[in-house]
Amino acid sequence: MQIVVDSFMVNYQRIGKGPIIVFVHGWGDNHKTFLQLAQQLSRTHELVLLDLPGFDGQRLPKTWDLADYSEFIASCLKKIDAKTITALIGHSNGGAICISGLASGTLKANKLVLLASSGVRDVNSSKKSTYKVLAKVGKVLSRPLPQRRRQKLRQALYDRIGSDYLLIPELAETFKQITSHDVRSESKKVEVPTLLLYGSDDTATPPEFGEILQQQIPNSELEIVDGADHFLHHSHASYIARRVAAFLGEKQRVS
Amino acid sequence: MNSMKTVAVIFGSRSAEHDVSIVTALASVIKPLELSGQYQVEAVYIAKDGRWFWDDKLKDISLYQSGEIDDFMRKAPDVHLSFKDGLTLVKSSQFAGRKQYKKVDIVFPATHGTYGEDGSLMGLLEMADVPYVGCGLSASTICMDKVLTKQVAASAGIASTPWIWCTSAEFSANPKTILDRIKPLKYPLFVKPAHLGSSIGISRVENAKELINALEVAAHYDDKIIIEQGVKNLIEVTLPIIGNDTPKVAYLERPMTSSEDFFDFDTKYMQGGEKGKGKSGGAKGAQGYSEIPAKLPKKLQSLAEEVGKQTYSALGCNGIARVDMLIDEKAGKVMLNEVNPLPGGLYAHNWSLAGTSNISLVEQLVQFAEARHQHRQKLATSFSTNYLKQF
Repeated sequence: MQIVVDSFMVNYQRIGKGPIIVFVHGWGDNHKTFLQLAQQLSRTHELVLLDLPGFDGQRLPKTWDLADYSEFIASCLKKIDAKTITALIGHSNGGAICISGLASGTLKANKLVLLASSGVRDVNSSKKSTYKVLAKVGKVLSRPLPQRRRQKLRQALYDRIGSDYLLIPELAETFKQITSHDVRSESKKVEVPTLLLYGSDDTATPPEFGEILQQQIPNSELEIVDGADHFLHHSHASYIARRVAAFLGEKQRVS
Repeated sequence: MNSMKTVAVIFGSRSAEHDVSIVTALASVIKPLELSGQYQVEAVYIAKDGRWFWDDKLKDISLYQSGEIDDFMRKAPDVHLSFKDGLTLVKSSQFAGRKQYKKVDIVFPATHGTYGEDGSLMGLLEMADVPYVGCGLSASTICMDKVLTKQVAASAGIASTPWIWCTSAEFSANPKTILDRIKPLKYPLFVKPAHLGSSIGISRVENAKELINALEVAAHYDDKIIIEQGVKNLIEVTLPIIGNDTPKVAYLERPMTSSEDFFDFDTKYMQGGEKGKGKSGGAKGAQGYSEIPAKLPKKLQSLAEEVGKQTYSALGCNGIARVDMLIDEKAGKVMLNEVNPLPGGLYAHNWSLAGTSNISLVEQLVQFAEARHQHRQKLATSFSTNYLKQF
């Protein structure tokens, strides 16, 4: 399904019946990342899964911050008449958007689920600084190479850092803006019950991020999912669905 | 070898269906043309930014899948067209800046959507006076405009479900007026951009709120919007047709979807018809899972074939097209939905079941193109007058 919001064409899905859960995907991803999870949760809830702009070829008119994304989500929900939101579920950067949106009051929900949420920014900063210097030196040294080869080398370096900086080149400035936005202070203002789920093997948003955020969010609980990586909602979809359903106070009707 | 005719297959272009066009060209046109052993095939690719390229490497699907096409385009010379004595492809050679020329005998357009299938490419080929496969300029233009299609068909007595149209500008300026005009139609309604194919921007709506959202979506894609009333007891069928003056039909094909589940872009091209999976009696086609031939009462089947052929002729189609129809099973009524002047994959899967192989299909299409061109050559296009002397 599609709607036009703020001049963007938005792909979204609205499935199931019951209290509304809104899913917010991560950087460079789309709503389909939640389909496994949605398949199970749609038995007890109405699910709203939407694509954030910028990752589907549509250009952002300016550099966006987390606040722009949360305002955009609020506009989408208004447009489709999704009024009372039982829970927000955000993965990775989607989690940071949810924290920022709930803290500012732009988004409203009764509960929050953070799946491998980002938003904690200056951990491992010395390691990242080293790679940044390497990136700058490499940029000069690789100039004689063909553009495609240079691009591959740069991508390899940023992959090594665990950075999505080059994932969508058109959004490089927005990426820089977002990754300089630490949500720790905002997370203190998140008053709704919050469940944080992190993968024990996640290198992009390690369990340590979860511990930091859990200390900040007043009414929160953290669980580290053993053997899971950054996409724990893919590898452990059934378990995550059960855990989320239990957290939302539903009977465990999911398989 | 030298006596073989040269067929230039043109594909890609500035269209939402750019990628679908690549698959049609490579799998359903170039490959069978080459396998026929009758033609020398030249691949002419129009990039998303409108640049033209001509190279044998463009026949390899992995070039596009791997993303190496970007590298290729950076290095490859642009193609120029010469209209001297027909159509000639021209590009700079890698050797000492010499130019490479290739005279084209027949063009096989394999573009879908805008800047190709919509008649714009056909206009160029008419100017070049080169035979080309498929519908001509006017038929392509009419078929690619759902409003014009229904207006022309109605003038030939061919029925459609009740519909209205508006421009996107009209809707933006005064949505209430447009909503008032739509009021006589009964829900569910289908809102469509008038010029786009592959179900892009199409919405099925049940109420006024959804209708406004759907109109906004259609207006985002197109400057013209058509709003159609849904059909009760619906059987949706499509009929591939080839030929010039004597249309020949393949099998009536029934996409295995329900009215709640109408074909969107994902279903047509991305999911391989997942939505219809599990229903019996089907085959996997360009639009996914379909029933071929459609199991219809004999009378309805004949009627649908007749409506298909009438539509093909009324719209002036040549070479190939596909007529989509909506059938109210209880009322025994067949209504025109839309016409696709260059069906994705040529609907070779259906023709194959109907006894025409993909190779035979492209050979026949080339022959139709040549026959039409020869016929047009006989028409007078210039007249001697003394108008200039009087000036």
